[in-house]
Amino acid sequence: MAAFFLCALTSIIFDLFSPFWYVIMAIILVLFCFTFSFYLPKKYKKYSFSVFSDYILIHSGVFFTKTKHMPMENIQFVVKVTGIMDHFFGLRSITIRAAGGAARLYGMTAEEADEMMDQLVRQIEKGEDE
Amino acid sequence: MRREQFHHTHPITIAKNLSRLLYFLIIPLARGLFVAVSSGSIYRWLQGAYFDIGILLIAVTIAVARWYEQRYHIGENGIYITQGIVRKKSQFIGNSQLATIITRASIFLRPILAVHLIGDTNAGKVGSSDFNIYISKKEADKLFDHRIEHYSSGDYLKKTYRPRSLYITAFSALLSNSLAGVIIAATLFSQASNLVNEEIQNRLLDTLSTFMQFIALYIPPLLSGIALVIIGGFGVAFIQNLLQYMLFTSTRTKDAITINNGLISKRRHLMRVDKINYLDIRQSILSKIFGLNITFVHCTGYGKDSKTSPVLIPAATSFQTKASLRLLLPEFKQQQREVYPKELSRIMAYIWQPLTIMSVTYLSAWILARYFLPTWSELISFIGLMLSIPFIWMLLIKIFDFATTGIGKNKNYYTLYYSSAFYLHTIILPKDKVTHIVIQQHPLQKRSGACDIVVYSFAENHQRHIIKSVPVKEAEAFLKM
Repeated sequence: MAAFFLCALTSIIFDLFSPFWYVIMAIILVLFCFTFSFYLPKKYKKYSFSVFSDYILIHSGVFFTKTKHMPMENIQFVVKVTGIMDHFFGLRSITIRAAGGAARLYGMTAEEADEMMDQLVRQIEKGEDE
Repeated sequence: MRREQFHHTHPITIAKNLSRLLYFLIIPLARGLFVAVSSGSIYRWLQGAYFDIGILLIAVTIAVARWYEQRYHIGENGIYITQGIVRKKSQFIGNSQLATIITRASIFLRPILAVHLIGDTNAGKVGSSDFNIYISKKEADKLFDHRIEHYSSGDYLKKTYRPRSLYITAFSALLSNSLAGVIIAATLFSQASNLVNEEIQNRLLDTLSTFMQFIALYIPPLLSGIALVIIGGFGVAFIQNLLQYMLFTSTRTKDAITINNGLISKRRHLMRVDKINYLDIRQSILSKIFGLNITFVHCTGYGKDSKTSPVLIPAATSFQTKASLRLLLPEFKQQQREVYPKELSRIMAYIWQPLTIMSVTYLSAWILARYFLPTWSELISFIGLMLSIPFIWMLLIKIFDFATTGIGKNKNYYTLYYSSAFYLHTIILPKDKVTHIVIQQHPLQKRSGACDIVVYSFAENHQRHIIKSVPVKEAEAFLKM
């Protein structure tokens, strides 16, 4: 989408098939190929999360890797989101809001998300019982 | 959670969803329709307004669909909310995480037995609540009573604090914060208006210029008008605050505080005691003159709405404040300061800012009057003096601050004494709500062995409390650094 808009913008700003137009188009193409064939697959591969009984662990990042550790007891509330594109691919994401931060678990199927949501709700409810 | 267990929110949500359209679509359309009906030309009105009517119908359909898709379920352990037509959201907030639950029954909602239910946790966006829905009063009361019962215990005696009307009035006046500002601004404008008159009559008017005649004619009434508007604004704010804080009560059950207030628009706030981040006993110069304290409670969600102040004890003398706090929050014990600036020379760290601004303001006015606009010298000197008054005010606060600042502690709480802007604060802060403490020194402080203690406390966004220019060795020993 971004590549398409950049191409359109370049074509509006510069004369079509001028040297500048070629250079910028080439840069956009390289960036697009790099993102599509390397960055996004790598991002997908590197992204993982595990939910344990007392904490959630999220690994992410391509160039700068990040491991997020979120204790269950800090979780304040959870939100399951189905975006416009998610409808088409049957995907769901869950946003976990904790005191002082948030984490997003994405790329789950509807069933996985429901199961995850139930598990998180049970954990939060356990806090209330205690 | 099964969909059948969910209820629709109150239909007033449709009106709320449409409220943004009210001014720029519904009102003009209704006015047009009224004119058309009274002149008998509805067909012509329809011809002109069909596009707006179409937009309105779409908006109404979306508003109804949004309401239909917004459902909630108040479970034993928390609240479930689902909403959204295209972008769907299902949310669960556990009761144990809710710091504050608020119900607001405004003058418009009361006749239709609806309330605005708002909940907030220590997570989520800083400026907004974590959920807010319109539901029936009966459901909201059920939730409130259930939570109050949960936070109560059979052997715990419920305690209620109800301030005297005089204190509510004083609080409303002090809260209509511009009080001090209004007095200054009103004096400034009305006096300036007199001076401009005099100036022009005596020196300029007869000498010339249609421009000056224009000022002579229009500026003085304008300035007096502004003064009147400010005083009128204060009056409105005062009445609004008075109506809002009338019938104020704070009630302590075992684990929660309930605050009710409002004569016309009724509000109920339920806060868990363990979610209270700190207490702030505040004084301004005016409240100090009258010997009054205002006690605020910092708990996520309470006072987030711009029309509400997170007040616990609206106004009371120091003695009454202590007695009321012993009743409502006995665990928040105020301690005497242990670390504080002892040498008089440290006062400069407190007063240099207002002193500098005050001097620069008055000096600039003097230079302007003396060298650039001598004919307006009286007026400019007067404006310079008036503009420096807030800083004289601040200077007084800083002198009080120097005399009272410091930090003390007991087993579970810190007590911090400091000032910010025009207020003196006494903060009673649970130790488990401190995120971190920083001792910082600038080069001058390094030489004199002083430091600032910066205490960061728990909140949706970090809250800072700064105690200035205390001896570094004592601070380190006190904080065991």
